[in-house]
Amino acid sequence: MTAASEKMSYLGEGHTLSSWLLTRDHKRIGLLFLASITFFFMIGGVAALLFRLELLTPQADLFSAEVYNRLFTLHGVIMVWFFLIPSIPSVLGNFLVPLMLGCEDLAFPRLNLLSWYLFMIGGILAIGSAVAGGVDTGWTFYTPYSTTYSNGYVISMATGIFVAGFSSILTGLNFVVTVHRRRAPGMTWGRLPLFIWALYATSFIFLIATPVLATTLGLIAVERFFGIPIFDPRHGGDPILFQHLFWFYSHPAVYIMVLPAMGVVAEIISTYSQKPVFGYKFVAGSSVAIAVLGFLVWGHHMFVSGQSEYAGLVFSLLSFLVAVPSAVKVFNWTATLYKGQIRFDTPMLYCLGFIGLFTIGGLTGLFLATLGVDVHVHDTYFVIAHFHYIMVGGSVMAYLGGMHFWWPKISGRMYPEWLGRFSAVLIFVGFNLTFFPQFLLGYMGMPRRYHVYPPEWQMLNVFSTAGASILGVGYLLPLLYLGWSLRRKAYAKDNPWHATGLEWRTSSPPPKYNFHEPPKVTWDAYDYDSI
Amino acid sequence: MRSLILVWAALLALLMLSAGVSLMQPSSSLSEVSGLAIALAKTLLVLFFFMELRLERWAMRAVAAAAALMFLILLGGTLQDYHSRAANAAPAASPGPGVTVPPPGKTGRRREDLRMAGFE
Amino acid sequence: MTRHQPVSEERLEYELEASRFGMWVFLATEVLFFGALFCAFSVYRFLNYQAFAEATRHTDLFLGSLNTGVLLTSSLTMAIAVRLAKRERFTACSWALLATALLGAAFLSIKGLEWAHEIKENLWPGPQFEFPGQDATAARLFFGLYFCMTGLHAFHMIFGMAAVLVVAVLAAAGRLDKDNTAVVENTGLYWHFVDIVWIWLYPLLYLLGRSAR
Repeated sequence: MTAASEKMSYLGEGHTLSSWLLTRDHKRIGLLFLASITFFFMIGGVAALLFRLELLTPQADLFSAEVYNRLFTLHGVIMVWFFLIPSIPSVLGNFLVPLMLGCEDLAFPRLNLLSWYLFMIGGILAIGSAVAGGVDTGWTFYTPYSTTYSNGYVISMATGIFVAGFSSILTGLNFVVTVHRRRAPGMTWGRLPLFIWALYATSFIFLIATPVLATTLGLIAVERFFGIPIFDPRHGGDPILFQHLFWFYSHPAVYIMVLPAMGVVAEIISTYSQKPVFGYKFVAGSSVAIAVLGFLVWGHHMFVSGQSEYAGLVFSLLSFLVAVPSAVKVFNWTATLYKGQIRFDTPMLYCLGFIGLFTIGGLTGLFLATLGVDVHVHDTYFVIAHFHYIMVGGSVMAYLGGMHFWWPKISGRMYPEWLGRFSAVLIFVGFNLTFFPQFLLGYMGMPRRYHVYPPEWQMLNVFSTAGASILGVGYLLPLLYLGWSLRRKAYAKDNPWHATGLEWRTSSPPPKYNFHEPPKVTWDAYDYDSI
Repeated sequence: MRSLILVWAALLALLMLSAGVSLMQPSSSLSEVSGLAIALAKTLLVLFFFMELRLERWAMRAVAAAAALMFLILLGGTLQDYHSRAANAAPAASPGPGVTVPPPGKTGRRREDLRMAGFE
Repeated sequence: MTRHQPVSEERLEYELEASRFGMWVFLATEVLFFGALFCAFSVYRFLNYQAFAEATRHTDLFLGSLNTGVLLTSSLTMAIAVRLAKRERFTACSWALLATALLGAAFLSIKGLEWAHEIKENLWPGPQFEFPGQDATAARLFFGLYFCMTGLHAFHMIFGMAAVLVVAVLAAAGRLDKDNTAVVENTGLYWHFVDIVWIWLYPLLYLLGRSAR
C-alpha cells in the first residue's frame, strides 16, 4: 500500500465537505461517528474530572450540590447515550460489517446517514440542555423528581436522548437486515466472524429495548409539559412503574455497551494467538443468550425501590443466570490463548486488560444480584465501581483495542507501536487506581451522587481522583498519536496482523465498494490456513 | 381477492360480536376474556391474511413472534411485581369508621390502603 | 441499490427481499413502542379496576366501534391495493390507495369528534379534569393514558396516510412497475400494523369493564 493507492481508496473519493456530509459510504459514516463520539467522550470526561476534583476534599469547595448534581447527570447522559452505546456499533460496526460479510455496503445506506444526523441532532439538544443550565435528576430520570420537582431542562434533555435513540434503532435495523440479506456467497451463518454475531445480538437489543425508552421519556415530557399525571403519586401514579419501564430498556442497554466489546475481544484474541477462537458455537450462542436473558433481569435495579419481595427473588435468580453466558465467553477466550503464538501488541494488551477487568466487574455484579448484599450496597460507590469496571475497564478498553487493531484498515497507516503499548498500560494503571478504591468506599457505605462525604474516606477519594487524572492522560495519548499517524509515512499492508477476516483480504484502506472482486467464501471463520 | 373480502367480513363479524358481548353485560371475567380473545383473533387474521404472514418465510414470522414475546415479557415482568405486593394480596383489616371497604377482588387495594392511612 | 459488479437473478432476489424484511423489523420496534403504553395502562388498570371500568363507560362506544369498522375496512382496501400492484394494475391500485387514505381521514375525523366531546366534558386529564364518578384520581390516570395512546395512534395514522397518498400518486403517475412494488407492500404492512394497534386499543378503552358491576 502506498500513497498512490490510498488515493484509489474510499478516502480518496472526494475531499469536499459534502462528499463527507452527504456520503452513503458506510466507511465514511463510521468516521463521522468517530468524530462525534470522540467529541462527546471529551465532554463527558471533563464533567468527570470536574466532579472528581470536588471529591478530593470531604466538604463542598468547588461546587454547590445543585451544580454537582448537574455534572454527574451530564456525565452519565453523555457517556451512556452519546459515547458508549454508539461507540463500537456505529464506528467499528458501521465500518466493518459490510467488509466482514463481503458486500458493498449496508442494506440501507441512506438510513445509515440519517442515523448519524439523528445522533448529531440528539447530541446538540443534550449539550444545549447542559449549556442552558443542565439537568440534575441523574441519568436515570427517576420520577416524581424529574416530572414534578426538578427545575432543570428535563424535556429538552429527554428529547435529545429520544432522538438519539432513533439513531440506534436505525443502526440495529440496518445490521440485522444486512446480516440476513447481504452475506457474500459461501458466508453461511456458521462462518460469520464472532464480531458479527455480537453485533447481531446487540442489534436485537437496539430494536426491542430502545422504543420502550422512547415512550418512557415521552411520558415524562407529557407529564411535565401538559400537567397530565402519569407517575405522580399525589394523583394515584406509581413512581415504580417508571422504574420498570426505564430499566426494561436500561438494563439491556448495558448489554448494548458490552456485547460489541466482547465481539472485538474475540477477533483480537484469535489474531494475536494465531488460533481459532475456542468453542465458536458457544461464543456465538452466548452472545445471543446474553441478548435474550438480558431482558429478563431489569428488576435487579429496583430491589429496594418498593417492588415486591417476590419480584426481587425472581429478578435476582434470573440475574445469576445471565452471568453464565458471560462466563462462557471468558473461559473460551482463555482457552483460545492456550498454546497460541501470543504477541503482546497494543490491541492484545487492551484485550487482556478487558478480560481481567470485565471478570472483576462481572463477579461484583453477582454481589449486587444477591438481594441481601444489595440492600447494603445499593446506591453506593460499590455500584459505581461495578459498572465502571465493565463499561470502562471492559467496553472502553475493547473499543480502544479495536481502534488500534483496525486502524491500519481504516486509515491505511500504522500507529506507533511503543506509544500504543505505553498508553494501554497507563490506562490500565490509571483505571484501577480510579475505580478499585470505589469498591472499598462503597462497601464502607459512601453513597453515590453526593458531593460531600465523611473525612475518614478522603484518602481513598484522593487515590481515585489521582487515578482519574492518569486515565485522562492515557486517553489523550491515542487521540494524539492516532491523529499524528495520518501524517507519518508508515503505510499499512493489506493484512499486517495475519488475521483471517474478509476485511483483511482487501486493501488498506479499502476501495469505495470494498472489494475489487466480490468474494466467495470457502473457509471457516478463523481458518488460519486460508490466508 | 375474494379471500380478502371474506377476511374483512370475518373481522367485522368479530367486531360486532365483541361490541355485542360488552353490551349484554356479562360477568366481568367473561367480558375480559372474550374481548381480548376476539382482539387476538382479529390480529391473527390481519397478520396472516392482510400482511401475508402465512406466505412469508420463517424469518418474518420469527420477527413477529419475537416482538410479541418481548412485549409479553415487559408486561408479565412488570405485572408480577404488582400482583405479588402484600397490599394487593389479602383484604385490609378493620377500616376506620365511615370508610366503605370494596369487596375483595381486583380492586385498587394499594390506593385504598393509602387513603386509610391518611395519605389522600 | 447501485450495483458495481454484475449479479445473478438468484442473488438479486436474495437481496430484494431486504426492504420488506426491514419493514417487518421496524414494525417489531413499533410493537414495543406502543407496548410500553399498554404496559402502563395494564398496571394502572390492575391497581384501579373499578375506577377504570367506570371510566370506560365515559368513552363513546358507538363512535369507537364505528371507527374500528372504518379502520378494518381501510385495511381491506389497502390489502386490495397491494394485490392489484402485484398484478401490475397500477391505476386500480391507486384508487384503492386513495380509498384507504379517505377511510383513514374518516377515522381521524371521528376520533377528533370523540376527543372534542371528551374535552367538552372536562375529561382532558389536565388540571381542569372533572369526573362524575367515584374515583376521579384513577379516572384521570385512565384518561391520561387514553389520550396518550389514541394520540400516538393518530400520529401514526397521519404518517401512514401521507405515505399512502404518496404511493397513490406514484402509482397513478405510472412510476411503478413490477420490480418496485415493494413500496406498496411496505406501506401496506405499516398500515395493517397501525390497524392492529387499534384492534387492541378498542377493547381496552371501550369494552373491558364497561359492563362491570
